Amino acid sequence: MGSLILSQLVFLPLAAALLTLVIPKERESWIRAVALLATGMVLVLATLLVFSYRPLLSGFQFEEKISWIPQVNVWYHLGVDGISLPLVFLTALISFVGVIASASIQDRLKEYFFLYLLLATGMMGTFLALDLFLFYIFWEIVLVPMYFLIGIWGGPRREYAAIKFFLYTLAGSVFMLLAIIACYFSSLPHTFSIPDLTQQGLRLSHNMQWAVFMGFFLAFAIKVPIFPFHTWLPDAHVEAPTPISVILAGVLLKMGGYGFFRISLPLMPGIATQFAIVFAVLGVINIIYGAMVALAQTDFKKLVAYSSVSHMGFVLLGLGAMNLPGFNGAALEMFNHGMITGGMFLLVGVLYDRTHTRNLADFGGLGAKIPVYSGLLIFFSMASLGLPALSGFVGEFLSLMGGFLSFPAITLVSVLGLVVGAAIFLLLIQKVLLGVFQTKWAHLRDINTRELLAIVPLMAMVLWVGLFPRTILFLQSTTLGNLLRHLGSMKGW
Amino acid sequence: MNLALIPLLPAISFVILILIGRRLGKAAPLISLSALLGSLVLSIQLFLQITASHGHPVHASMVWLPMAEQSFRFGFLADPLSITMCLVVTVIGWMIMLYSTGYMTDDPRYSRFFAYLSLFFAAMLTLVLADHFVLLYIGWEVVGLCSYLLISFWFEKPSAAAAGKKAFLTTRVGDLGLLAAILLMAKFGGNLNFGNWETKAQALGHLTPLVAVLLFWGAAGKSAQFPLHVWLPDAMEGPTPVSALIHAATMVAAGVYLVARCMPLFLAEPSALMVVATLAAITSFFAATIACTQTDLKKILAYSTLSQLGFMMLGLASGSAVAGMFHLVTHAWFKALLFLGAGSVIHAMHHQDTTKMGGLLKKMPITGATFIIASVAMAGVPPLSGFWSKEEILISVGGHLPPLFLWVGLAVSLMTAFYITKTVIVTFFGECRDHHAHAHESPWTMAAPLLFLSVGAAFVGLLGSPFFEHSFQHFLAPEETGGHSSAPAWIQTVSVLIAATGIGLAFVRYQLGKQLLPERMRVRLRPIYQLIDNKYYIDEIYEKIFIRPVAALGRLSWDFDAGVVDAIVNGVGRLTQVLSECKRQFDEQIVDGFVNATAIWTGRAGQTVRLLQTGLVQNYLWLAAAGAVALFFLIRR
Repeated sequence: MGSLILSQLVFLPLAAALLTLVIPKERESWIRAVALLATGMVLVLATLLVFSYRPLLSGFQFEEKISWIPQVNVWYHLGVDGISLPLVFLTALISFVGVIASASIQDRLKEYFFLYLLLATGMMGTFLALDLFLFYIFWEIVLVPMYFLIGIWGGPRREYAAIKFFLYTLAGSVFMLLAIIACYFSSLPHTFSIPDLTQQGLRLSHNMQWAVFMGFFLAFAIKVPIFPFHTWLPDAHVEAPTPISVILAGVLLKMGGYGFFRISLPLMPGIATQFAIVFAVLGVINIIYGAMVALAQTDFKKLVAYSSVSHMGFVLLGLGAMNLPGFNGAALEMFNHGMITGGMFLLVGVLYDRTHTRNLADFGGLGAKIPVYSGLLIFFSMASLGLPALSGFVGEFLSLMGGFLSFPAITLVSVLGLVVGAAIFLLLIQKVLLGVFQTKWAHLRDINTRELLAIVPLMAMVLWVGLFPRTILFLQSTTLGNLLRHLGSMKGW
Repeated sequence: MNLALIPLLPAISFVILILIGRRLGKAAPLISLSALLGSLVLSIQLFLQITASHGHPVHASMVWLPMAEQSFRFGFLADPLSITMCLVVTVIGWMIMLYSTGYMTDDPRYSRFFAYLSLFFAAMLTLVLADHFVLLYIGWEVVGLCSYLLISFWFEKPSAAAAGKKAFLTTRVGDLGLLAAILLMAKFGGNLNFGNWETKAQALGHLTPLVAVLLFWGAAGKSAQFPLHVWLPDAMEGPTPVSALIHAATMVAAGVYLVARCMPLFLAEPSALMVVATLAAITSFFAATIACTQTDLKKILAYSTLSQLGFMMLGLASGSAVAGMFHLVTHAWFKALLFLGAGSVIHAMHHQDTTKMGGLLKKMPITGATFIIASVAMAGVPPLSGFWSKEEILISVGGHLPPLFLWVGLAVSLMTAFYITKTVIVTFFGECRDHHAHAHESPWTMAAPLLFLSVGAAFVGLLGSPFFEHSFQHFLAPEETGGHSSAPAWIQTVSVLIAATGIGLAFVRYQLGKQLLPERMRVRLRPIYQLIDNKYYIDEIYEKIFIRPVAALGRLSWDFDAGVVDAIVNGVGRLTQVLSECKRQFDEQIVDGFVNATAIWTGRAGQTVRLLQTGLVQNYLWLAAAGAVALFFLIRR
């Protein structure tokens, strides 16, 4: 495998996708097996990558660089560093878990897994590409399968949700494309290479840099999503089938935050530091506003979707902090949120598959009937509300600490979000699990082994990172420290 | 390593029980009991080690968060303060767990109960042994979770489900204070480890009182101090052993422990102590008044706990960590005993309304006798334990705080003696007022802990008495000499008299059935009684000013999200559609229309011209001739 490990991570799913095309569509178990095997291998490779990554080295590792379109200096350039590594592992794990959760998909299996695997390639490529051109291609690749996966296998309003998702994201990427082109022409020699652009900086006027920054910002803000660009998210989440919701929350939302770390901050350090306070303010808005809206939800899935908006606020707050705890918190929160909310959506799916309703008022007292499921729901709810000793807390705490070091007043406001966040999930537990048991669910079965298999890896990660956060922090600290030095704000902490 | 095992053993027990507890059935408590016994033995061993080395702390740590220069090193620290807490938690906890095996025996979620208890012990022991604020915070929040799970343990009852949620949310409001204090200390105070308090206070400078008050705010949430006290009475929805363990003896005392731990920060700035003293006095006084009016056995004890916690905080506010901690220890014994006795009564009667009890001493001699011992201890009758610790607090308050606080303390003592005597009389003496009841003594698993705890409730206080040369105080704080000299000398005498008065009044009123006040006064005081009986309407006020507005704000945000933000997005989409429809029209009617029109006119022109193409040579000749004539005239001109 040697140095091509990153290409394998990216293209293994694609190869499997092509393989599914030649399998007759009646052979459903073969198709499932191919998907499981491919994502399983990606997970193994990603794990190997984590263990062979050298956290103390600066710069990118496992780089692959091949000239692709020499006329315009486009390179096929992959590489991994402390910012992308946790997300690569997250993507691999979530993709694998998603295949297990796809057992509930019965319809047009062949197309489903083709698109699913294509999606996996797009996501992995986005996190590994070091050439803006390549990055943009992977970024857009993600859109297409996602559009079909929501639009075909989704709920009743799937078409509306799919189109909204697609157009919204596309609208953002148009600005990104303009920004990328501006970056290209500002460099000498013209290049799309992110490391090169980072090194030479953008040779643009201050105003032009602002324009470029805003171009990227719009694309990433829609993806994160940042208030007020977030309304595609609840619709897409609610309509998407369970495994796709898991991927949406688990991986797609991270593409935005990753973009800030990978492109906005290194390429335009001057603008980024000026923009820091905006990030922090937007973070607080996301935290409080997302939580408040979630509080009013009556749909299980929508509640979780809006709580995601709130959690993403911590990423923004940490990002805006522009210090080591903040950056660590933001990066870790992305990783943790993938695990926690991914698990949460799996649980929503488990219940929905059995009851065909997501209306919280329909439930109640299930704790007595399905104890294992209840335990899991309590576990993930506690992780979501930031209970210490589970991973959610570490990310939130570091973001808050970082935020506090830079913007004490703003951060103190966002601390209020912790109470509302707790209220959301306690209400959820109360409405679903506690209270008088409703006899209409007398035949409800507890979570089965296959569903457990999907959720246990996520649970294990949530617990492990909660107890030993240094496992992940160790991987990302060097890179984040270097980024801070590049931004010229390596403070005491 | 041994140190880490103290919280780790119950944690392991939790993991085992949560995974395979149901298969273990009735054997489940064996796991949790033996794990906790391990922690208990280790705590005793550490205690002996510390005593032998004259208070020298034992310490072990590891890196939790690596971060440039400032990593978080988490560790466990066993010093006199934490080992005292450890012993209280493990000894009393073990007894309560043993009691629970009998109390919970018919419960369908038997093993889960012990799993939650184990998790509680793991977290509580982490909390008290932590040497770092963030580690303490972790334990702090996880005990909150356990409290939540156990209050809602009988979640089929909507009131239990609601009470758990209320407890979690109220304490979380308090936790924000603790979190804010941690953030402030991280930013300004250097590090977050315990110790080096003087440098910490210096580094914080003028922020010290703010940090101290925020810490107290956190402690107030956990220890149910006004204005965050509202959750504790509701927490009585949980099984009674839980009320005894978590909501009387140990977890609610965590706030007292936290303030005692951070005492140097409070001492650096007297204004912070005044805040503590005020809120503690309010809690202690008002809770005692409520306790006098309640008739639900557990509610009486709950308000009594509030009041006693306030009393401990008052002791701390007088600047004496020892006084507060001493009362914490004695209170843990007698209050756990009171709750377990109440549990025994409830187990036998299947209800907890004291107006339907009476004469139970004859039917339940062990329960009755031990309950009376605990009551007398709490009332402050010498030489039982409550007397000594109450004494310590009153003396310290008298010596260091304005006289008003001493009067509040004495008033609380009076009311305490009154309401607990009243409870004893209506429950255990006289005739039974419920003729359907077939009360009987509880099984040995429940009776043995009662007997054991009654020994402690009676004699633990002696450790801090002159008879044992104040050895408790010397162990906890060798350097703190105490303010015995500066306090008025009459306090000791007066406090004994006050306890006697309280007991006497209750005896006259409830045993002899004589009204204490003349009829006219009683009518006059009726509204006040109503006010107290309704717990000063604080729940209702909070409902109005916090809960409903937040819920309304949530709905408002949701309406805004759907009605404005999303409407704009959809509007943009709709607008695009309309625009493209316009474009389509433009395209079809104008652009394409022009093209088509050109084609049509060309076609028509062709049609017209085609008429000339007749194929008859004569016509062509005619035309040629006409053309020639026309040309001729044109050229001529």
